[in-house]
Amino acid sequence: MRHHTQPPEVPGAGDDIRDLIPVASSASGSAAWSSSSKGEGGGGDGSGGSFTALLGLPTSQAMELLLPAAAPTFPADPHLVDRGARFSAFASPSPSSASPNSPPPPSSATATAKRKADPADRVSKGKAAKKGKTAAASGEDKDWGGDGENDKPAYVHVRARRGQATDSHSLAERARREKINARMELLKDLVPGCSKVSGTALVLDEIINHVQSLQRQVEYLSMRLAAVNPRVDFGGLDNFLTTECGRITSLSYKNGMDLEQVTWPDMGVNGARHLMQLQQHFWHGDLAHPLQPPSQWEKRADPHPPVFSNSSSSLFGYDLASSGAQPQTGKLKMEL
Amino acid sequence: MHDPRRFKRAFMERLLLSLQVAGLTSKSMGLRERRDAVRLSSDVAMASSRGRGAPWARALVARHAAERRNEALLRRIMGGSGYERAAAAAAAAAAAGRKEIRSKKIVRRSHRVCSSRRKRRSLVMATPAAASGAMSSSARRMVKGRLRLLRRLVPGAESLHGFSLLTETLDYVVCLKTQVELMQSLCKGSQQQQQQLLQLG
Repeated sequence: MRHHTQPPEVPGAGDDIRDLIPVASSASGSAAWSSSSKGEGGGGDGSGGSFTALLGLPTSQAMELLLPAAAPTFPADPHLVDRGARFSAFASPSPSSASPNSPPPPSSATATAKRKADPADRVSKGKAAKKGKTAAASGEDKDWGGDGENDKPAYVHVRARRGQATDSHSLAERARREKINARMELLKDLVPGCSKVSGTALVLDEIINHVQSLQRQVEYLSMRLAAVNPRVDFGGLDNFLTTECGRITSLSYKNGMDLEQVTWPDMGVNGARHLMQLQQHFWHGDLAHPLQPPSQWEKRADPHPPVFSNSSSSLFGYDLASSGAQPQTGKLKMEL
Repeated sequence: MHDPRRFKRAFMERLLLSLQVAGLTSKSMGLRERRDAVRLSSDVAMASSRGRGAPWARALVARHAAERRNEALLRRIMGGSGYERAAAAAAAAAAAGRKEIRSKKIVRRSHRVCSSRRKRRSLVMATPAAASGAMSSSARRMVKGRLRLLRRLVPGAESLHGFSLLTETLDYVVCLKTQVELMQSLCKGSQQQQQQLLQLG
């Protein structure tokens, strides 16, 4: 399956071994984790190439992406989350153009990845192996970026370490292992108290504990919310919310949650016009966000001028107060 | 790069909306019912904000959809079509899960037979040493057990192996964190609101 291209390009001693490892190759041997390589191949398919972009990042950058100080972020697989973003309703730029594309890519992505893997399956074996290792999905990434589609780069450039086998199988295994180790690093950064623990099993232990505790917290919080609830008016709750995103919601209740139509510019706190004092009293959130302020709100607020009901003191309560009796109009259009 | 703030915002909005739709303000529900409704709406909000890019989102909703008593609430929150999709996913997942369990049992049994014939020692020591590097068999067993646990914890990760499993966990952990944060702030906010109400008389 592997054939040499341009052999004259492979110089003699003193040069690196460049190894093209197609991520979707079924020839990759069993990884450290799983016994079935098919599962690996399928699993590594989606994020392998894009993941190497992450590998290229120094740990500090990757950590910065993850630390809660900067707000919890997602795994930085640009392609994975790109797909997610595209499928989610918030692909604001062009939902219309995104949606026709969205069904085909998941099926075609794997297909194209596999197709491209085979013809380009090359290994150029040189003599000397250099120390150190770089993994960079080099030109491929940029191509895909230009594509703008969900194609994932199919190649991983891997340099073999000194004194290690340059067997194609072991190289692939090593690449996979490195991927997995990098993932473990990410997880270790995410889960508090994991950095001092070394050894995969213990780290996994911590992760499991963390997940369980988070789930338990969710249950407990939901119990609390349920207990506090009978008199809570969720519509009026907006200005009390103190999360990092500050001025949260722009519930356009009347339309139902048709999030395909809703674009997400930074909606300013239009309430600055209204309940100023109250707002400053209760609003711990981030008022300093760049606001594309009231202009958008003006449009929406016009047909339904805000109703200042004392009981709710809600900024956005106008729609909700009127349509509170018709919960059926509000629906979450599921993007699943 | 995926925007965490966007996710949070969307999540919060959907959360509020779904909580409202869930009709929690009616006094007819008992505490447990209410709590389940809260949890369900929060999960649905999280899953829908996450979008299609993550399989755990679908599985999470499917889990809820699989229970009959949630049907009405889910229908209200997600709309009829959304509910149908979730129900279909639940059915498919159940069927696939059963098949997989059956096939895994068969594979395991055949493995056991083969390896007992082939004199474990030689085979087991050769390949893992080459393949997995620095792991002793006991460590691998521990790791495997933990991975199994993890698969059970993370929704929709039953069939994932290795790398994808870790990816899913990562995603799921981040989302869980934001869920907890948002719910905490909701709690605080509603407390403040009620205090204010009391003050205003």
